[in-house]
Amino acid sequence: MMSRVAMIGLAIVAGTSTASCKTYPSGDMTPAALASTDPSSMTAVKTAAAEVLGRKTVELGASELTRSPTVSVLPERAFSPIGAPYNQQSFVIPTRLLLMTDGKNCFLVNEDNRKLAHVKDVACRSLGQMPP
Amino acid sequence: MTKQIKFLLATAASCGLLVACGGGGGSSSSSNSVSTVTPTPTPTPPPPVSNAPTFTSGVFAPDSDFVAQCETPRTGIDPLTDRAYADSDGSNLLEKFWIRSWSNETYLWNTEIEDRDPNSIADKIAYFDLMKSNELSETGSGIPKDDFHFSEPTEDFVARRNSVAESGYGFRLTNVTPEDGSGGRDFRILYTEPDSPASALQDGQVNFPRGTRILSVDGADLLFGNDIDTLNAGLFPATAGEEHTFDVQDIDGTVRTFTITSEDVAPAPVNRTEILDTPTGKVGYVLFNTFSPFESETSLQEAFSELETENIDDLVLDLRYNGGGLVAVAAQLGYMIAGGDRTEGKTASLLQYNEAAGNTDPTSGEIVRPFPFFDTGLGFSLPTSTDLATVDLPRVFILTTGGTCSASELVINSLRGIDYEVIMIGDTTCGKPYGFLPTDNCGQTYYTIQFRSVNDKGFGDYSDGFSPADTTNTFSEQSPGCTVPDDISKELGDPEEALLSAALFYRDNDSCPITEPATAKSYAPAAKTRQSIVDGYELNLRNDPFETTADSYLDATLPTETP
Repeated sequence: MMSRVAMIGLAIVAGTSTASCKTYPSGDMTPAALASTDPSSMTAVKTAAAEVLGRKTVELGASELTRSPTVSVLPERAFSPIGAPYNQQSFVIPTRLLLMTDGKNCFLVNEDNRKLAHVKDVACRSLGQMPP
Repeated sequence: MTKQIKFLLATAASCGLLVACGGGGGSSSSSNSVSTVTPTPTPTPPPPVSNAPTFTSGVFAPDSDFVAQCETPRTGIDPLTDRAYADSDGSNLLEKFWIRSWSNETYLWNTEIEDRDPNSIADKIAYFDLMKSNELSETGSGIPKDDFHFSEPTEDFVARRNSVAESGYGFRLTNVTPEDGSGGRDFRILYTEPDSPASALQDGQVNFPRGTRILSVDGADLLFGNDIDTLNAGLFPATAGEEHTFDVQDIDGTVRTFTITSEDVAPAPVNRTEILDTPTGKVGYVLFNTFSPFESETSLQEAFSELETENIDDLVLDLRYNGGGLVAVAAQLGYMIAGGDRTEGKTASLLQYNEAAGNTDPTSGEIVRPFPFFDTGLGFSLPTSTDLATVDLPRVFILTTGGTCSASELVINSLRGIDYEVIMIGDTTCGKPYGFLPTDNCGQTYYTIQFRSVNDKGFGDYSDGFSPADTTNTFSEQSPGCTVPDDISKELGDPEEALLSAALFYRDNDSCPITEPATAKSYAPAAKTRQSIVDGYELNLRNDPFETTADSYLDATLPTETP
C-alpha cells in the first residue's frame, strides 16, 4: 500500500465540494502525521474524512496517526442487518485515506479518486520519506 | 520508497465554481411574441401520452430508468441513509419494471431468468419471486440452485438492522427438542462468553457450563409450559441489571437453582486460546466464533501472536459455531495460518458476478478487486502498519458443523485454493458460497443472489458444503478428516471433547478414531433454507421461540453482528 501510494502522482480534482471557497495545497505534498490525536484533532480528521468520502458522518478505524499517514475509515454497515441471510459474508473493508501536508496545511486524500479535503486547525508534520 | 508525492494541480479555478443556471433554458423570447394572426383550426387533442414503459422480451432499460418510482412514495428521512427518501410518484408497474431490469443487471444467473412481462403479474412481490433461476444445484445434489430468493418490507429490514440486544447473560443456546415432544423442550448451552454472567462462578460452580439444560425460568416451566412471556423475559432480558432465577440440569444430572443478573455482553470473536502439550508436540487450539465485529481482527492477532510465541507444531481451529462475517478478516486468517511464502501473490477470495458484468460489480459499478491473503492490519481494529502474526504451518485442523458458514467456509476454500492441507473434523458445513446486497426500492427490500466467492483456482461451487472425507454426503466438497458428531458433554477446548479428541487422534495416527455410529444429535444452530435462517433470527426467537420445528435449531446467539 505504502509503496504503491508513494509512486502515484496524484492530481487534484478541484471543485469537488459544494463549498464556495476551499483551501488547496500550495505545492508539493508529502505524507504527514498528526502532532496530536487529541479529541479536537480527531474530530477535524473525521470531518475531513466525511467530506472526502461524501458521507454525513464517518467512524474511524484503527490508525496510528502520530506516526503513520494512513487513516482508516470504517465501512458503513447499512446493508448488514442482524440475522439476515448472508450477512455472515460481508466484503466490506475499511477505506484508507492519506494524511498529507504541503508544509503549511494538512489534507486528507483519497488516492482512489484523488479527492482531498483540508483538515482544519490541525497541526501535522511531514514524514518526508515514506517508510518501506 | 522515497519518492515525494507530488500533487499536480489540475485546476486552480476551484473557488466558487460557476454553474450555468439560466432561468428556463430552452424557452426563447419568441414564445412570448405573436408573429401571426392567421386563424388556425382548433387542433384535435392528441391521445393521452402514457408514461408506462412497454415490454419487449429480451430488451432491458437500465434499472435507473425505473428506480424509486413508487406506487406509494415515502416521505421523510430514510433511516438507511439519513437523507430524504428518493421516492417519487410512480406506479406498481414501474416498480415491476425496476425489478426486471435490476434482476437482469445484478442477478448472478441472469440468463436463467424467464423474461416475463411485468403487466402479466399484478403483484410486485409475486413478480420478483419469479425473477430467479429454476435450475438445480450444479453439484448434482438435486437441491435448487437458488434457494435464497426473497424480499421483505424495508421497515422490517431496518427494524432488524437496528435491533441489537443490549443485555443478556453471555450464553449461546441451542434447541434440541425432539420431534415427538416426549421429553419436552430441550434448550442447552452451547458455550458462554468469557467474563460474562453465564461463565461466572456461584458457590464454586459455573452458572452455565456447556451442555447445561434449562428447566425453568422465574418459575415458568420451559419443558412443557406455555408461559412464553415469562420465559422470553427471563431468557432474553431487555436491560442490564435484571435478576432472573433459573432451574437447570447439568450434564451429570445434577439440578441447580440460582439467580443471575443480566449485563451488556459483547461476544468475544476468539472465545479462547489453549496450548495443548502432547507427547508429540505443542498443539494450539483456537475457538473462533465470529468474523463479524470489527474487533475480530484484533482478537485473532492476539491469539496468533500467542501461538507464534509458543512455537506450536499444529493448529486446531474451532469454527464449529462460526457463522461468518468479514471476508477480509477471513483472508487475514488464511495468512495467519499458512504464512507468507504459501500465500504471497495468491487470491483468498474473488467475487464473481454475472457474465455480463465481467469484472465489474454491477451493484456499484466498481472494478472487482481480489482479496489477497492480507498480511497486515486493515484498520478495522488493528492499525494498517501492524504486521500480522502467523504460525506458518503446513496444515491445519478445522473443527466444523452445519453451523460453520460463509466466511468460515471461505477460509477453507481459500486454503484449498493454494493446495494447503485442510483436515476437517466434525460435520458438513452449511454451504454458502453466494452473497448479495439487500436492496431497497419503494419500501420493499429485495434479496437476489448477485455473486459467488471463488478461490485462487477459481472454485466456488460449494453449495452443499465441505465435508470430512469419510462423509456419506456425496455432493459436498471433501477434505481429509473425520465425521464426528458434536459433543456438548465436554467444554470446548477440552482434549476429551469429541471433535478435538478426534483431531488429536488423527494427528497422531493419520486416521480417524473408531467411534460408535453417529446417532448423537447435531447441536449446530445452523440452517440452510431461508425459513430456517429466519427461525434463527434473534427477533423471532424473542417473539416466538417455540414455533420452530424440532430440526431447525434455534440460534439464541447474542448480538454477534454488533458492529
